[in-house]
Amino acid sequence: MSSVMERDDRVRAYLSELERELRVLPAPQATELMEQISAHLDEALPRGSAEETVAAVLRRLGSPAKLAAEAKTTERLDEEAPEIARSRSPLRHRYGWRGWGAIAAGLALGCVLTTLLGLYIATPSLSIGGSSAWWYPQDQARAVYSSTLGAAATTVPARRAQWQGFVVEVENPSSSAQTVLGMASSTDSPTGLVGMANVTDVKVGVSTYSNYTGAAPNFQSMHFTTGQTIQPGQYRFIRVIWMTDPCSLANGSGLTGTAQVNLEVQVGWFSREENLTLDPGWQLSLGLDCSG
Amino acid sequence: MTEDRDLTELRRGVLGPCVLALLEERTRFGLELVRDLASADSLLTSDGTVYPLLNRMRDAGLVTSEWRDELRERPRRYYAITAAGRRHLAAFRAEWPRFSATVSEVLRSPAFAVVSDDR
Repeated sequence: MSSVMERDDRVRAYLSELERELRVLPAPQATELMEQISAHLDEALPRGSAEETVAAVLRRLGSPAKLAAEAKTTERLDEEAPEIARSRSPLRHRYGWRGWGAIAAGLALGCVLTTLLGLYIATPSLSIGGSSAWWYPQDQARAVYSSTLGAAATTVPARRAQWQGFVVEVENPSSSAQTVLGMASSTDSPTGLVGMANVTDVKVGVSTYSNYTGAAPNFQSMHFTTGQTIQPGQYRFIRVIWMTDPCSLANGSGLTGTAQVNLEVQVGWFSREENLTLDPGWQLSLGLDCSG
Repeated sequence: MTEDRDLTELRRGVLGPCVLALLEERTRFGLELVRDLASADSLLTSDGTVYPLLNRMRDAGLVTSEWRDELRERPRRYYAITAAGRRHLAAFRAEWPRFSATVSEVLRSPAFAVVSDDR
């Protein structure tokens, strides 16, 4: 079943504009709102909807700018008071010579940091646990598991210009708290999903709690955000989602996928790239008519 | 323009309790909730604004959300009221009659009319 985004240019244009407007929000909030509005449109506009219906549904939703402003209003309520923000102005403006004093103290602190750096280097990375699933129910329903020469993979059809992604369990095996800051971008792997082509806007979130008691985890009831800290010995789930563009799969095999996710992780006062090996790997297969 | 802004702020203030009241009756998915709210005259100016509100209420622990695909047609995100949401709604329900009666009384009073004319 194709979504309304694939069928109607006006809906695609609306969602593109909304995505642009939502850039003022933190990525997790923007992603969540995009998912909600996409689902709303899918539901409100069944196949064959008249042009007037499409126009009316979009009009009732409100302009992307208005929607973003409403979301921003919500966001602004949580922002810090201006006086707190002012208190973070540069030291030289607020303290004068005291700022220089702080620099001297900083040098002393450097000695301490050197010691901490040693601990940081010795801290083991996050590791992948046993539970995982495709994030969206429509992908879960179509997933095909395969194992070739010891390499396991789960494959779903690429859904053109839609969000797709997966959830995997992670453990912090170290004795230090680790905070997932986002995807780690590098020249070899700009998205942080090693080997995966033709996906954009890759976002990672960590579940705010594990919600896992040994039975099958209910991923959909979890809340995912960036900047979540995983305490030593704790399990969490990470959700990686992306916007799929299957119309330009480059390798000719009809498949693209990844078996390694690179994360930017803060350990103590430092951040570093952690490379997590995924087993199974996560693959998309090209199966759509891309001429439209 | 000021009148529009006043009404927008007023709607924003009462929309949350209205959402909780609908969810107290039964869980609803996004579009269902939007349609039920829109059927109440002048409560919603644009459908899209319900979603940021739902996210804020979820973050405040007043509602929960869950994706379900019961009919195997398309996944829907269902929203449900929490115990904290019920307490919040009960408190609002207790306060609302007195508050709305007070506002109505002030709006009707000659003293208020004089203040308005002086502006």
